[in-house]
Amino acid sequence: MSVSTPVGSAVPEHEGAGGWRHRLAERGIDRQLWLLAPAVVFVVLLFLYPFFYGLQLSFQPNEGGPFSDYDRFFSDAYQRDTIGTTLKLSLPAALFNVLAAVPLAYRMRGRFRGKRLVTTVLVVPITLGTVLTAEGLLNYLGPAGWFNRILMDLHLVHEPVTLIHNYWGVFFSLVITGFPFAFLLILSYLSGIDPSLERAAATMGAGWWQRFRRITLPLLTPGLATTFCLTFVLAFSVFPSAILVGNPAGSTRVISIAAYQAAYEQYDYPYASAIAMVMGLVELAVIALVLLWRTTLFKGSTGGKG
Amino acid sequence: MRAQGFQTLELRGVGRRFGRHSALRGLNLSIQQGEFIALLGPSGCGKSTALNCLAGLVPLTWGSIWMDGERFDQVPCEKRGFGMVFQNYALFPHLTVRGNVAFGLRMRKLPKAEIRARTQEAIRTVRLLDQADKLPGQLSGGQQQRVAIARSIVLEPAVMLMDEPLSNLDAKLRLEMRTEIRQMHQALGLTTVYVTHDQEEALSLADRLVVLRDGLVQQIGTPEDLHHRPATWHVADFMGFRNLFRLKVDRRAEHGNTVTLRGNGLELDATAVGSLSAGDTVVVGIRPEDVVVEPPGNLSEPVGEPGSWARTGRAPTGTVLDARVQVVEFTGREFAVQVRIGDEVALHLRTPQRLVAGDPTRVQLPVHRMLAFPEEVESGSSPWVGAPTSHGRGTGSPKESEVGPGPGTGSGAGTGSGARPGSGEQPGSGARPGSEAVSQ
Repeated sequence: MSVSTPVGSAVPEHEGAGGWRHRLAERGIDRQLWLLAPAVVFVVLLFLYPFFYGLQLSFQPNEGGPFSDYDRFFSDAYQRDTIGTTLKLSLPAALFNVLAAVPLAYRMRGRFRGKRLVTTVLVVPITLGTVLTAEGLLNYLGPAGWFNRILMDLHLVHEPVTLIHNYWGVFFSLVITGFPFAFLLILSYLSGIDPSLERAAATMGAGWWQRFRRITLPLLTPGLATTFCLTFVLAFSVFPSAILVGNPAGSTRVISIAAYQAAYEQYDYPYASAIAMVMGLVELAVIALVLLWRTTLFKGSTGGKG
Repeated sequence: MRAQGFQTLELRGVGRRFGRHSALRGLNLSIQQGEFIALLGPSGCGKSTALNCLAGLVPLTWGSIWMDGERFDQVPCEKRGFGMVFQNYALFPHLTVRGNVAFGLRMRKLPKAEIRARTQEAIRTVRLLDQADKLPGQLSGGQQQRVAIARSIVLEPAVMLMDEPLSNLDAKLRLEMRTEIRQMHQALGLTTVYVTHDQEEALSLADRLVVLRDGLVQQIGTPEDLHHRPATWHVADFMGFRNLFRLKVDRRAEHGNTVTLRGNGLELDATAVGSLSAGDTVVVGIRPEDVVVEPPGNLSEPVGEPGSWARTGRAPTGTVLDARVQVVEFTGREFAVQVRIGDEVALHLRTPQRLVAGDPTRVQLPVHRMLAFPEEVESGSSPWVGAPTSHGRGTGSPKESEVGPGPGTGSGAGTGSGARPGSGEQPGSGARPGSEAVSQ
């Protein structure tokens, strides 16, 4: 902002233009904004255009009025239930990821030897990708996998526990890929909280639980809400693992499978677009609820470097 | 477990290492109930570390802390019952002023009515009643500072720890808050340990000062002690001895502590602090205020003639030198002047006389204000204050045993002028109770 401010003042003969520019610059509008242009073009071409194309496509069904595809989706229980199926997977998975990441990140917020190693180990699953994770799950949790063999050798179970090709397989896959993400985000939120706040609380007689409960947690909660939203969105659009380690015809027939089938098995693009729009609306609704709750929390500075 | 009404708090050989760096070594200090102690030193000297050790926020690497004969350094921070004011105040941003002040009382699970009453009273003490329902982010720096203090005093802490509490305030507010802190200390009968890098703040507030440098105690003493009798030239540097020169000892007077120094085209007399012998390199210092300027009109007589000084009624008890005025700054009541003496050595002085840059003048450096300190071979060691030598610092030769011939003899009666170094016991001699800084 300040860079272009002298432009107005240095050219007194063009006072009108200079003053006008100066006023804009004071509102944060100046030539540097052109630097945003490539990003704007990128977003428009690769996100906004496909989105609006899909939106208008969803109102142009192959037969019937503009809303008939939406009508078709909601009147067909087999299709409609995918919303519930997906929510039943993604909400618990996102909640679990956030809740499990909090204590771990809290323990690891300080500096200690080997922190980088531990962080790397925790983050590796992100880089592996869903397919590799699914393959590992199939081998490990399968009927003849290590996990079941150990349980049987310990005589804890007599028959292999079914942990793949059902709800739990997808749930584990969502945790493995979503947890590192939640952990990293929460770790950065935690390091944004001034450590002297907890120390001050300690000098005032607060034990570790009180310090966490009364100081850190209230300051962290807005970050938890954001983290929840992001991990939820990731989990809600689950597709490969729902097919690979789930039961894509039954208990894990998530909404993205419904959209895929409409688009690439029935070649009904308008219907697929309508399903995608429904998917987006459900996500938006959940996020709106979470963010609405977030507005009731403290939003100010947490005093740290973040 | 919580300390209420103790008699003495004792730090024995307290030290702390961070990684390979020793932030604090061998701090011995005994704090009496009701005392105001200032930990003074440049940044990185270990003063904040000492405070954090005392608060229990940082575990000790060496040494122990005792309260009335009971070991105290194992007690966790939240059970010590010490109040602490942080440099950045560390107010809880999501709680109102009232919530911040009540926090500690809530932790003690006191009855609601009592919490309300005591919170109200503490907020009244710091005059913030009209701001009580605001969040810290809505307050000015000075108000935040007062909340931080209220939050601590409401718990009636056994010891109040303050970590540079005024460093984020502007100059005017700093003076006001300084007075308030001292008043509060007296009115509430607090025991305060106060960390600062501002010597003026420390001198004006504290009953006793601990000067630290590189994690080692340089000197422990009253403000007067430190002001008049700095133990090392580092302390002197901190205590306003702006003029510090490195010179060599030429000879020692037969009796007394006077030494004659030479170097940089100068020859001058000074008072030895510590044992010095001919040939030693010393750091000699004098405060700008202690330099005397020859009254105008007497410059015709050559140096060495005591006549001119005699006429002014002052005894010429110092070296008289010709000087040339270089820089003159008007500071209100007087002038801050920089002159050159000897081989272009800069000397700062203060005088009510209107000197003119470029003019010759003549200055007198009073012997008893001119202090010559042994120059340490290695930084961190000090000739008197027998700091622990766990790290095998230097030769270790100038230790307590050699303090004798210096001003540490304690023969205060014979030294005459009050400002003579060593007219009291030096810390190294271990004669002053409660202020020892003795090697372990």
